[in-house]
Amino acid sequence: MAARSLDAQRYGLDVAGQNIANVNTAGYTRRSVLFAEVPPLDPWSAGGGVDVQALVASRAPLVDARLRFEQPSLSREKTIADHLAIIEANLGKPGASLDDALARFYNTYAALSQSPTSATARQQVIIEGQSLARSFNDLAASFQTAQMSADGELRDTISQVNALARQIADINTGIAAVGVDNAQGLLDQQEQALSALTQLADIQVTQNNDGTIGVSIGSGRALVVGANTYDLSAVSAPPNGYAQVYSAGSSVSTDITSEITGGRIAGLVQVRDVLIPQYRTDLDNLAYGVMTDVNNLTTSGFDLNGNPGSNFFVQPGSAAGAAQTMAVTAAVAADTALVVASATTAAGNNDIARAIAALQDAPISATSTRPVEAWGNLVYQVATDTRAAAQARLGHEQVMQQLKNLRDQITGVSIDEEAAMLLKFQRSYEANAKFFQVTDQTLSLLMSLVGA
Amino acid sequence: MIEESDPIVRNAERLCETLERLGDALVALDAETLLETEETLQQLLAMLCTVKSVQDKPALAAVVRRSIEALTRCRRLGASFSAIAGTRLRMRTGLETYGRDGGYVQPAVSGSAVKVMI
Repeated sequence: MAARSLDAQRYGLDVAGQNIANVNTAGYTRRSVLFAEVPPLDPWSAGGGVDVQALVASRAPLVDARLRFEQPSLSREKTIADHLAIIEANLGKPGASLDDALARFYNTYAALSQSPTSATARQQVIIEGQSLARSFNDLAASFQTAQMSADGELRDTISQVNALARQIADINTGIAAVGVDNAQGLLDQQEQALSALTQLADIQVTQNNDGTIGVSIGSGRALVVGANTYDLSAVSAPPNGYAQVYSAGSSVSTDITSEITGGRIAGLVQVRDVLIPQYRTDLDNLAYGVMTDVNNLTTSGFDLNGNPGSNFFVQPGSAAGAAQTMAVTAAVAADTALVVASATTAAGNNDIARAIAALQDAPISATSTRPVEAWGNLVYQVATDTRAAAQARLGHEQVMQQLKNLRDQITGVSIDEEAAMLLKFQRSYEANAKFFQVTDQTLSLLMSLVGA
Repeated sequence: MIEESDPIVRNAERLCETLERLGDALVALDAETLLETEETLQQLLAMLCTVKSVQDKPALAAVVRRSIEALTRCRRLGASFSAIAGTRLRMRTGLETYGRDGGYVQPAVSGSAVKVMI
């Protein structure tokens, strides 16, 4: 009896040591030993001492499931915020970006109107026109680079999903081999792999009685079933060759890109296919508007030689891609005499130069916004999207932190302690929540007082 | 001479700070702080819900906007906690803590159920 009891206690100490040794091990779940009295063999015996009944890990499956639910949203917003922060930085600072290039370009026409025949002033118009075109080209290129970077990251992420799926399938095999009661380490690894997977995409997990799990993605497309995996693949799709996510988890390989609404994959798709294209369209519209308005004026005037004016910029057929291809025409770039300043054949006339300079303060044709305002709107849109993603990320982070705190507080305690803690906190929250309706009404009242 | 701020704006700022503290307590699962904020909320709302006019409108507008964000955060965190707590309590104690309308149901304490005095 004494030997068995000592063995049981020593086992308890070993488990405590294991817990301490793994305090920094990622995914490790604290273990505890359940002791049970060994009953007496006869009515005169005091008892058979103590024995180990079970080794249990302090898990909180419900909280873990909730964390898996929350993680993809956090990861999606984090991905969007990180990518937009880079795009925002590429837009440059106010006064030192496209706004400055626009102002300098129009101002050179103002200077040209002061001396319409000056070769220096004409050369300056060409230089600033080329500089403006380069600014548009660089911005369009930076948007395209950001799109390609998101696409490359998406392809990597799909590979990571497949690697994690294979890892989970291997863990399933291991758990099935040793039995769930002897698989605490494998169950830790399983939870860790699931946690990593939820950072990449929103998934559904099916828990089986034998401790193994099934994982599906998108609209219930199988990813892991027992020891088998159904890989995702990145398929390049027209028109630009960007990757679409295909699943082998149904009878026919299916495009499930739009079915994935969480995790890094969803964030990357949102950045690549929705946000950046919108910014590129805005930039293209601005470039197209600037070029068209300038060309409309130059083709209505005359050059220094008294010949009918030609386009200053290479006129694009449509707005699509205008920022990327914007350029001063080769003929004008090679000959300052072809810069149009005059509305008549008389060399000293400056009407066209003045009209182009005035475009700076006039709405772009078919719009109600000035060029610098249109640029400001684009910068504001990127900043707003970045801030919205960062705020959403913060909100999800706080919920995740709350869930982790909850998991720490309710694992490894008795059922009574857990219930007491939950009830106490819930009642405390309810005591505040009953004022939320009134708070809402009061804030509405205050808003109405300030006229907002 | 230091200019006195509008008392309504001051109270609105206190309301906002209380809501932000409430949100922090919901993240940290700090029941003691929640009990403190309950009384403060009640007092501040009683003062603010009878306001008829305000002098410093821009300052109040900024505080109210911050308060709306703080209240949304509290609701989100409260809903997250309640979703877990409700299910766990049902699992652990068999007690229903929320009715079908989503409102809190006073648990009927009997037998081996846990009775908690707050």
